[in-house]
Formats: sequence, structure tokens, C-alpha cells
Amino acid sequence: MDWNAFAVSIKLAVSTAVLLLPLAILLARILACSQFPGRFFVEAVIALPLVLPPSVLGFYFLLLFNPNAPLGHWLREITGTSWVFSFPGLVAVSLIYSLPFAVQPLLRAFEAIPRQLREAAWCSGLSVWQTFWKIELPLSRAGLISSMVLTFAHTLGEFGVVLMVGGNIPGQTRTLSVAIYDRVQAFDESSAGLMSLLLLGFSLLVVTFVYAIERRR
Amino acid sequence: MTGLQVEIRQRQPVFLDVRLQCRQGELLALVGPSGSGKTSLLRCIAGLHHPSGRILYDDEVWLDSERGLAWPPQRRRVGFVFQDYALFPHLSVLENLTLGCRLPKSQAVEKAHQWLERVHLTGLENRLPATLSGGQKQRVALARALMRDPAVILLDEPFSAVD
Repeated sequence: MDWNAFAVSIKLAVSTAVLLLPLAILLARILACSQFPGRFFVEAVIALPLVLPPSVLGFYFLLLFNPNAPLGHWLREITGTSWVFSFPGLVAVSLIYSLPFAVQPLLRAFEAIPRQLREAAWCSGLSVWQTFWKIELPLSRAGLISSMVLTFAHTLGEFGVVLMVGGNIPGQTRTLSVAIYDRVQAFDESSAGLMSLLLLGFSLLVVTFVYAIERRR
Repeated sequence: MTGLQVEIRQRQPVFLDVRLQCRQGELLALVGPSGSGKTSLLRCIAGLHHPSGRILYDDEVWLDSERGLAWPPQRRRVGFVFQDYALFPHLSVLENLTLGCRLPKSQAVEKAHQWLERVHLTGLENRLPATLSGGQKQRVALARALMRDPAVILLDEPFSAVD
């Protein structure tokens, strides 16, 4: 069992889930409550990681974020670290890769709130911001939990994009799924089996939890 | 002229061409077939929809489309009882009443108790809307609308479920 890889996986999944939540709330709220030209394009871009091969996403990320590219160079100047084959780069690509898993439960939750509840709040004197905090967000609780749990679980199971962008640096970018691949390549079936069982059990637990929440909604 | 003055017109989404006045203390009933725009008119007065024209209350200009002026619902002194009540389902009856109230909390709670007593709902303060009957929900919605001390109260099919 590679506990370093386990720690990197948990750190990556928690970072992604926490950082993605505000962005997902913002995007879902805008999409649920407003009509604007190009809305379908925005929705398509958000859903793109669902159908895009991880290697394609990884390729473009390497192309844009490597220190020789303008964006990668600029980021290295600002943060003092390279964004490829490093943990910050892993987090950045995970934010993109897990975006649909974070946005879609929230979008469904916001869309399910009747328009009249918002209007009743405004007519009761609540500002748009107060209405969001006191009415919309509490009523979207199940969507919020689903969003965080799915993002966490999906990030934990990432493989292709992690391998391409992060490589396989022990203690830094080697996650549990990469460690499993590594152990299989080394014919270490017992370690690979133990780590696979851990991911299998956890994933099942997460999906069961999300379905239970959806049922209670 | 004091009170509410409405002169509005629009073609879409519902055709409206309305000119009405309602003085202080006056009760005005809108009667018409389904789809004739009764709810749309109330939404315009509440500030939930902005047609062309003017809406005034006393010396306040709530809407003047020619001047590009449209006060939001929060600023208009209206109380709105929605056709399907629109109670906040995650909040108790008491919280539904006090949520938008700008008074200090103790005063808001006291005021809410007074309104609940007047609509004969004392004892239901801690119940969630889902546990109330249709008539009880309507009375909560009415009490909530009155909590703002509105200058204009808009009632959309308000007494259909009251025995």
C-alpha cells in the first residue's frame, strides 16, 4: 500500500472540491437563472470533459502551461513554480476535468427552485444577494452535497490526465490510481489489489451516498 | 391624486392595456377570464415585470418607462400574496414572516406573532409549510405580505382556499 500516493490523492481531491465549489455555484446560478446568447455554448464547454479523452485535455494543458509557453512562463513568474509535473498543475487540470461533476448537480438544484420563491423573497424585502443566501442556497443543499462528493470522488479516480500533467513523482504527483498502474507494471499484484479495493469500496460508498441524497431531495 | 395610479401597456408576453386608479383605503377587484392578464398586471405593479408606461404611488414614481425608471420590488411598498402562496418550504411559519423584516429580531418576532393571531394561526409558528392545509398556507402568505406594512397589497386569487 502506497500511503504517500493515498495522501496525495486525498490532498488533490479535497483541494479540487473546495476550490471548485464557489466557481460551480456561480456558473450553475448564472445558467439556471438567466437567458443569454451563447448559453448553450457555455453549457457545452462545461460538459466537454465528460466526453473529451483525458489525454486530449492533458495535451492542451501541457501545451499552454509548460514554462516555455507564454501562459506557463507568466504563471511560473508569479507563483515561483512550474505548472506542469507539479501539484499546483494537478489541481488546475483537476478543476477543469471535474467541472461538469461540480456544476451539473448544482444546476439541477437551482433549476428546481420555483421562480415564485425568489420573487416572494424580493417582495418580502430581501435583496437578490440575501435571497441567494437565505432561500436559494439552503434549498440547493442536496445539490451542494452531491456536487462536492462527486467532485471529490471523481478527482480521486483520475488517471490519464493526472499521469500526463503530473507525471509520476512519488510524494508530489503520484496519486493512488497512478500508483495502482505502477504496481501492476511491476507485477506487484497484492499492493495493486489492496489499493484497487480501497478505491472500489470508497467509490461505491460515495455513489450510494449521492443516490441516497437524491432520493431524499 | 393620492394612492396608486397605473397606466401601462405591452404586447408581449401577455397583452396589457391598463389604466386604473386606486385611492388609499380602496379595494379594487380585477375580474376576467383565465389568461386575460390579471396576474401579469399584479406582477407589473409589484415590480416583477417592467412594461411600458407609468406606475405611481402618491408622489413616488415606481415605474416610468420613458425616463428608464423602474424601482425593484424591494423598494416598492407592496405586499404580494401569490396564487400558489410561494411560502419558503425550508423555513417555519414564524421564519417565513420574519425573514424579510428589517426590525430588530425581537420586535420582528413580536410583530409576526400579532399577525399570526389576527389570521387565527397562533400555535403554528414552528410548523413547516408542507404540514399546513391550503387555507392555513394562504393565511401565512397573507400575514407575510402584511409584515412589510405595505402601501399596496396585491392578492392573486387570495381567498380561493379559505373556508
